[in-house]
Amino acid sequence: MSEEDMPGIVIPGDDININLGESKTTAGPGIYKNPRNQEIIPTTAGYLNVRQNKANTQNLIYIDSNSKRYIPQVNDLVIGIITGVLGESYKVQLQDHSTNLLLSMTAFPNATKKNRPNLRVGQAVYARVSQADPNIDAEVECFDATTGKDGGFGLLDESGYIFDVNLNFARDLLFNQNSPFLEKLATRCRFEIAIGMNGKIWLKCGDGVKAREADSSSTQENANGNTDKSALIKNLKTTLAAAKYLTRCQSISADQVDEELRAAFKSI
Amino acid sequence: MSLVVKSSLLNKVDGSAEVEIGRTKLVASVSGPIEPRSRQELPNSASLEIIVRPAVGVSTTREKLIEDKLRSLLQNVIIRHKYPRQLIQIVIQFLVTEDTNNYSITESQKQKLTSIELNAAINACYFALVDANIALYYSFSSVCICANSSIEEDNLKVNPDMKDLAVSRSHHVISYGITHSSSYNVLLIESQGDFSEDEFLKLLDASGDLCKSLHDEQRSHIESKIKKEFIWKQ
Repeated sequence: MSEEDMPGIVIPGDDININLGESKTTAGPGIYKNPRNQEIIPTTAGYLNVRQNKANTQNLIYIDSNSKRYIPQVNDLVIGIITGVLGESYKVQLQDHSTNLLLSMTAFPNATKKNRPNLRVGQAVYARVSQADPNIDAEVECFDATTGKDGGFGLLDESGYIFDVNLNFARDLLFNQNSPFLEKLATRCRFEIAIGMNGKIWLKCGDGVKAREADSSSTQENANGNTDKSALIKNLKTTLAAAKYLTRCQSISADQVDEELRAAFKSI
Repeated sequence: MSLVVKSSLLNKVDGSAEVEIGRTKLVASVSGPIEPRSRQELPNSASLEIIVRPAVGVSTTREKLIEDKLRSLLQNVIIRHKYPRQLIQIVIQFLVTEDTNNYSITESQKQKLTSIELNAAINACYFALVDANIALYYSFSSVCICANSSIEEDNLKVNPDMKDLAVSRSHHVISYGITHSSSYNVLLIESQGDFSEDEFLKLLDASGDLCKSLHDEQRSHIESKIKKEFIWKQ
């Protein structure tokens, strides 16, 4: 699909004024087709994106806008926190105080009725929204539906750090291949990242943060000797610096990114 | 029009806006779509819960009246079928309202004079709803006008204060939905006082233009808000 030039801002009630012609058009977020008069209208305020494939047979229109509340959509990639167990399913929360989603215990690679995953309340999973009908409870699953393998889904281990970003920023990090933020971060440290479209990011720099507090007694269990401990502290510092850098990137323009990266990693 | 807007100022709700029109200042917040209480739940569309809180004291029938008028407007603007069995909660908190003690307005008169507050609430709701990303059929704006001796251009007063309302021959809140940034349709008319049909039609025309210019202000405000949210893209 080729992208048209710089998208413009629309607000509800605007005429989106595109010549759809004979080609098939897919309406994305923020676009609504009024069932009464078949009119296609923008329902939210944001950047209007119109994409067309090369053969001019298919269109895609959507509005990119920021919101605080995440509404699950099928095939969204999300980070959820296990909040409880309900029969054969886990209850998963995507945002604070939001409605729970269901994660079936059999929705894991190689899981059967006998062979269940063992997740505890408070643990985080990377999952795909498999059902998001507004009339029934939404569901997520932790395996790649096409291959049946884990495909990067599943439990996010506790050595990572989870923090919140704006929903529009999370989407951009996940889907925009030209996004400079992660590439620039990669020049400073080695990291593993999982980005949820619900505005949560799981980040692990180096070997991650093995214990919750670097100087508590639990450190001794994981770290053997001083060299490990100092490496642990370095990983912790790097993780926090990277998280700070990504959080700050949301409120600065692209030309300030280098400066922000330097500031975040100043003490490391 | 003197419209001062600050949106996204509350961080625990989905959308919020602080609006100052004349001497009235208020905060509107929108939470939604959220889980409703079972008695509020509608099987095929979103239910609206609108709460108006006065600047001083507890809410009375006066605030209930404003809530009711707001609901009649908002339920036609929000695409409620997109959120079946959900609740959209809108809270209007007045911060500064006209101090009636300065004028010789009786308490019973004040009960009836809700136009200024209603007008401000409608305009604030628009910004809060857009901030919350709630699906809307179109944009809307509202004006409060009072007419003194007879309705002619120079006798109209836009954004009157409480005193103007009390002495005016008639006063009106007129709200328009704006599509394609030019055509508009009436969403709400609240009139009090004596006026003839001719006068009223003239008034509708005048308020249409006012709503449109307000719409341009809304657009420039929302554009700058969106640019700020996407600043990292520039």
